[in-house]
Amino acid sequence: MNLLELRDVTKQFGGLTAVDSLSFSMEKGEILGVIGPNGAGKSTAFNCIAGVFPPTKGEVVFDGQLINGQNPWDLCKKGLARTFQIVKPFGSKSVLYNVTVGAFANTSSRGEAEARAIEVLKLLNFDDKKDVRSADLTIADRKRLEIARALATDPRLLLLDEVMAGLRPAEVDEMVEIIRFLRDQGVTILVIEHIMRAIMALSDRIVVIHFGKKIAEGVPEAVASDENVIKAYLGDEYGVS
Amino acid sequence: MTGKPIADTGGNTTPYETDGVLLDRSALARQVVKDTINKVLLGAVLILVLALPAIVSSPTWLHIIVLIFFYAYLTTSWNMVGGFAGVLPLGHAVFLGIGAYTSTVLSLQYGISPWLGMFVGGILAVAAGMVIGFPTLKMRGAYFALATIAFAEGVRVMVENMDYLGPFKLNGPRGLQIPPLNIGWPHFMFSSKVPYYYIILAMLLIILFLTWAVSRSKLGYYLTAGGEEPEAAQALGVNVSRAKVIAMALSCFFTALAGTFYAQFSLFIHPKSTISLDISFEIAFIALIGGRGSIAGPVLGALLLRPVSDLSRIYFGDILPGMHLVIYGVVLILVMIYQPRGLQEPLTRLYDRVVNRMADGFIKGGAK
Repeated sequence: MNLLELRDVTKQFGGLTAVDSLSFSMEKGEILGVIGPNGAGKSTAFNCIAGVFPPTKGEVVFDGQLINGQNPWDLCKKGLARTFQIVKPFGSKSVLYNVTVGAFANTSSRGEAEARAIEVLKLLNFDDKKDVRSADLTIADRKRLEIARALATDPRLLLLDEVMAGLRPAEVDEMVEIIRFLRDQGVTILVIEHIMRAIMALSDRIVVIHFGKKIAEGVPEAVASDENVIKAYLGDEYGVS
Repeated sequence: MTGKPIADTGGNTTPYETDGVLLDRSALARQVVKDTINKVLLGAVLILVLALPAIVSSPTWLHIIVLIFFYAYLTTSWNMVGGFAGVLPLGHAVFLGIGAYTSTVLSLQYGISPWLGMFVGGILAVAAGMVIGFPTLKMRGAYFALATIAFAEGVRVMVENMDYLGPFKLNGPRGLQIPPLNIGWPHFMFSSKVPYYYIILAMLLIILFLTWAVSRSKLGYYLTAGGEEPEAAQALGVNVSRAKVIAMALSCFFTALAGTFYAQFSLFIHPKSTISLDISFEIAFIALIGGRGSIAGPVLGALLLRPVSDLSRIYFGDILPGMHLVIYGVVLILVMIYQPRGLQEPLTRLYDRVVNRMADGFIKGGAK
């Protein structure tokens, strides 16, 4: 069964149609990449799923349930977690504190929440930094913290908003491995990303958005050689290797 | 960094494992010693404050100390919403006023003990807090602060112009006098300052314990998270508005209890002495200078600033009334420039250093 399904989702801001009857679906255990040029409507689609704002038209169905316009905190309890493109750590607090906030989604006991947080940090090989103030982390570690926090809420679907932007190539490789590892743990993952190399290597399937519309969908190789995609997104000079 | 990020834990063992364990053990011993020192110091402070009325015989000094505790209590109550939730309420005196007026009216007109009236006032303050909290707690920064000022000032002007609120006599700007007829515990009225001292001390200890408990609870985590990054907190399952409303309710309730204490302590309340902006601002000043969002901050702030306020009233009262607020302002500017997280931060660091040195001394002494 599909874990997430978008049916003709449209989002308008005044006269601007940011997302135009977008439809796609995700199976359990899949990594789906969403790509598109700047301003294509990726983040808007993302925010419609994450509950930041309701779509103007269409349906977002998560695990068989219509979730249009539900609050982010309710969605989180249902098993839908997200990260932020511009990282938002609780800066004055330690890494452990940050992750514990996420773990409180499923318990009210601080002991349990902290234990779960440490579990997640160990899983990500991040527990050596658990006492570091999160404002003092490097950008790569802050992105990792975003994922750790989201993971602590025990999501079934994880929405990753450009977690690789601003990372060095070696760090990108690390992040790709983390995401694959999470999928092996049974988490379904939606990735919005700019870095072609990473998303090609990572995704099982890719959806390409341009001017709010889906222009291609399929396995990475097929998408990369798709005529429309090369024209619209990669540019005419892009040589497919 | 380039290695496998999620390698099996098997690769984590270090070649100096025994050293690591040894190091851990001495660190553990050090922690135990430090904990003991902390407990002993806390116990000493507790004994000191319990014995203080026996040492300080002058009622004037005792009065000043009671007011220090009173403001420490008020600021700690304020801190629940103003510190942890990351908003800046600047009208908390209105809840103080609700507490003071409720218990006083109930005892003057109906003979109900202020001990009971105290809790009625607390509940009414929660109701009032909800009335302004629901629409305003979603506002950020200065807008929430302005809304709370407006509400508090509105209530003050209303009370000043109202002799009766329904059947209840408020007596407008002249205020209410509590005749000292029934002295004793059931009536919350004493001829000596010592019982007041112990009452406010108990209230302060309770609110400090509660703050400590909240800061370690889910609510505390949610408040801090929502205060620092509301969007991120919401994405992690935090209903930020709800957490703030709960914090506001707690804060209003405990602030109102202080109102009853104030009424019984001074035996005379009027709008300017309870619902005034001066008090609202003084609470915020103490919190900001001491360090909002920390447990020690409000107490430190009250300890450092209240004497300034009293001394300036004693020495400048005739020439420059309100001088203490000017001094507060200057201190606040300096603190915000050099210690934006309040004076509790450098003082905590200093304290830690002293405790560490003491622990070192003990461990070395024990090894000999």
